[in-house]
Amino acid sequence: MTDIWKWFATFCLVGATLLIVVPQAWIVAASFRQAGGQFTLHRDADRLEVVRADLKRFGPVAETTGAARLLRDEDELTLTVLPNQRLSIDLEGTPFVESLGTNRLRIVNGGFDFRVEQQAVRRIHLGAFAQSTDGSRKTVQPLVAKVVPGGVVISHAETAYLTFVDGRTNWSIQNFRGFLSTSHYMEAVRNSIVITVAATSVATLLAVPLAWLLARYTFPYRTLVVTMVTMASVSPPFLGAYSWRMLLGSSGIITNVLGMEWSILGLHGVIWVVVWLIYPLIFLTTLDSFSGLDPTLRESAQSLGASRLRAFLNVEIPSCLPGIITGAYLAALTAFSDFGTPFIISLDLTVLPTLIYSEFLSEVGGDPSVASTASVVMLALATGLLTLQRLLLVARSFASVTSRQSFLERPSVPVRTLAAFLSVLMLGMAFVPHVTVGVTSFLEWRVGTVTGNFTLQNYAGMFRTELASIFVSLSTAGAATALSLLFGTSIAYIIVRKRYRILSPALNAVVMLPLIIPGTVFAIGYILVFNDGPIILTGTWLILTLAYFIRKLPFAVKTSEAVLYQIHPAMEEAAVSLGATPDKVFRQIVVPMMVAGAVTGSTLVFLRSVTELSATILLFRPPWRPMSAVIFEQTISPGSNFGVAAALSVLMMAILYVPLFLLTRRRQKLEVAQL
Amino acid sequence: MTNFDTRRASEPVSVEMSSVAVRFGELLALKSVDLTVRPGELFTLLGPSGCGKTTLLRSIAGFNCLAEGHIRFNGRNVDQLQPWNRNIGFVFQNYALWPTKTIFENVAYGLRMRKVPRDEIVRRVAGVLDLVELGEVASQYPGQLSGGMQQRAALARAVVIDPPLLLLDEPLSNLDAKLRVTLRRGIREMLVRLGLTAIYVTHDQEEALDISDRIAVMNRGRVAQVGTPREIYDQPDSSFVADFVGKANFIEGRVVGKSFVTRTGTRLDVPLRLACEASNVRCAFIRPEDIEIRSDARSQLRGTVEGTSYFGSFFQHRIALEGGQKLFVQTRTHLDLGRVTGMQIPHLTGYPELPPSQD
Repeated sequence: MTDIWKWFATFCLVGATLLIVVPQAWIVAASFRQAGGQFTLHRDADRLEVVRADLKRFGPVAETTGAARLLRDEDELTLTVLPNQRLSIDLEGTPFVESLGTNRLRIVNGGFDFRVEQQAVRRIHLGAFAQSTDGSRKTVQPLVAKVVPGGVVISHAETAYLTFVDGRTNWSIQNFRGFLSTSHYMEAVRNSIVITVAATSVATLLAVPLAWLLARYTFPYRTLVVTMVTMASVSPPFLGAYSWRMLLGSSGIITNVLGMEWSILGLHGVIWVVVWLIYPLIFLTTLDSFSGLDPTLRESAQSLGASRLRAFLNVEIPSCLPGIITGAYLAALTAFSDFGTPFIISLDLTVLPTLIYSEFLSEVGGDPSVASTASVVMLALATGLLTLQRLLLVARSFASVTSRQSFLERPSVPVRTLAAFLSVLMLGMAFVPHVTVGVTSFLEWRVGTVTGNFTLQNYAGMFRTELASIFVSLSTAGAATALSLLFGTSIAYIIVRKRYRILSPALNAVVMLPLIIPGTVFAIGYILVFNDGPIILTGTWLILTLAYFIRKLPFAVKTSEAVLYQIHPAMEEAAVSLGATPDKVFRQIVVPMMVAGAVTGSTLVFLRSVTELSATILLFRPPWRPMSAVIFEQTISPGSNFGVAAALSVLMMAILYVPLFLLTRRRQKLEVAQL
Repeated sequence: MTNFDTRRASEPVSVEMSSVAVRFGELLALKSVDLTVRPGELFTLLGPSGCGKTTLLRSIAGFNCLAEGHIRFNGRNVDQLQPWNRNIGFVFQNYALWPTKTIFENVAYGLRMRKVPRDEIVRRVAGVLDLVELGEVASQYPGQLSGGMQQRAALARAVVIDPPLLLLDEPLSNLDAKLRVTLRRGIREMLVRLGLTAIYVTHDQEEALDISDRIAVMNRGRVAQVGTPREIYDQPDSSFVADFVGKANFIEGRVVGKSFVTRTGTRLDVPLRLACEASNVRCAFIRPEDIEIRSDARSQLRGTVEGTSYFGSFFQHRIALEGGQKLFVQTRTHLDLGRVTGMQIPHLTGYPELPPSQD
């Protein structure tokens, strides 16, 4: 039995390393690989010209009409014009040449690995006619290379552009130098940091007071607020941006009605939307720690003469700071990694996730090495955030949690007013997207504009065209949930109960890594690793499932661990003393108790998989288009039918909130049973 | 309450422990324990926390490996027997009822492991639940029951398998004082009726004195004394046992001839019981309730009443002797503070050392 567990633990560790550590290491490696650079020459009769706009790493040293000398770091290259559309290249050693077709060839020596491509210019002006007069039309001369002593001679087309791309890469920190000195990239870093800091601060200032009020006073709507914030905490992250832009965009519903010049598009808009997206995370963790705080701590401060406010500032806030910091950390990480909001709100605004996305995907001018460099920058910032959280938590032990329920006071009128104001504001803002989407899903859309006519066409259209995406979402999220239930519980069991000296802590560390990897970076890693080589998964159903499973596995492991810590070892020993062998104890005692708790973790995995966007958008390829990708694509492509996207969003909310509702009901029942 | 079959299939066993030692890393939790528990006996392991009593109990159940020594059931060595093959009932301190199973399923589990036919399981579980008066709640979950009911369910789960040996690890320590007293009588009566061998761990000396046939007092991984409750209380072998069980006075001094002479020179001519060589005696022990307050010629010691506590059925006075030594004395009557009084000491027990302080 022990041996089977050890084998399984080893299997999990190897698997987790392959699926988590290797892709990230690959990104880091890619960010330190510098491409060899490229240059383009324009040959026109006897003239040779370096095309300045197409230089990468190579710099022209001297340029005469008949020759070009180029320098890359220490490597120098001289190209000289020869008659009859020939060009000689000085190369050391014995070069190797290979033809790759009429217009392409390859030249390799010790220092270079060139792919050369020619583009002949078809002359349509007078000169061309002049040429065609001296007989039959010339066919374009193919690109041919010949090794000669001291170099290579190539013959090429008349009046051609010759592009040399050096495929040899080398280790260098040049990518980072370039990244840090390019203002466009640094602006993305700055925007990301501004959004993260501003949105987290505002959200904390709103969420902490409301959490404290609800933890200390009785309000008739207390449960309602907590339930609704919990609902908001799992709502799809891109829904907010889309709805707010629909309302307050440059020709949004409200901006049009009021005839406003102002619109939400810009940095301020992103911060606004992100605040309402992330405050539930802070609210829920803070509410937990305020409610769990031993009421005698506060009461003793008050008995010693501290006013309510002083007790709040001197005792409650410091004791609950770990909870607040943890909530703020989770919120900041969400804000930092959010891809949908900035992308939907403003195309002009670049943040790190959108930078990576566009550099990686755009066919023109995109640079994959920038994507991996930006990914490493993002990882470093996320790690910095984690380090900051750890530093703030150091020397702050967690608040002592008592089973004694804090006595809830009756609120005074000002307190009631404040609580009502905060609740209405925060819930209202959090649910604006839901209402907007809900209403517009029943309205007719014409050429990208909403009308006032009621219709069910959007839903009909959704079922006609998007059934496949519903299936993709449910099946990938469902499979990821099943996997995380299986592996989450067994990995938690290995970590908590088996306690192998090296395997358990190593497994714990590796499995928790995805928590700090932003979705965009995670996807880049998967694309780098699974795009070629032994396993090609990019664009398949499996890669979406794997990404959801691995990214959300920490939730499943953490909740299972919490359950396991509550299962006293005596529960297992009781079964042993009654004659159950260890495998029976595991199957009949441990598994049923863990599953009861692991359902919570799995539900979270399911909800977060369905709404996942930042990794999905890079990993998916038709026909495997999940709902989140479909909604996203329809919201960003101008003139498309938002109605179907709205209907799809409403369906997604149903998919989210039904399991959440069942889970809360079940949890309440279980809590009664556990008391 | 009665349809549980108390005619048992398995006979109670004897348990012999010889030179049992248990090690947890660097810590030697048990150091060479020798004990014999007789068949059908209710045997208690009593001691302060950390003395090794629970470790010994878990070793008998097979949850700890022995570093040295052997444990035998009816003369049969069980050292190599896995815990699930020992056929022992174990009642845990926190009950360890499985929250996802009903009371019926909890109690039936051991019978299912023994592949008892379904209808017999139903009959036997119903019987034992009636015995512990839980027949009404068989279909409920442990979380829905009170602490006392959970305790009885845990007991029912351990005895339904008809074990020749029942182990109980502080089964009452999570309950309130009044319930503890009621339940411990209930446990005692049930165990006597079932006639099985039971080993009971507790740190509550009153509980141990009340229910046990015999008690082993343990200290720092060793057995300090084994005996009936009366032997343990009336004739403690060491100052530790005297101090741990009940309330004790220790008077410093030495033995001169047939008398005990206190540190300040007072000579006490009383019957002396010695736990060691007379020349090694460093202190003498007497229970507070054995000291008599009197002012006549038979008074042997004089002291000043410094403080009085009232316990309802008696008063306990703190009396300072000349030289500063304090004695606790119990009486039915009140004594005024500051009053100088005489005391008669009927007998003393001499020990070679003062008890280790218990703080």
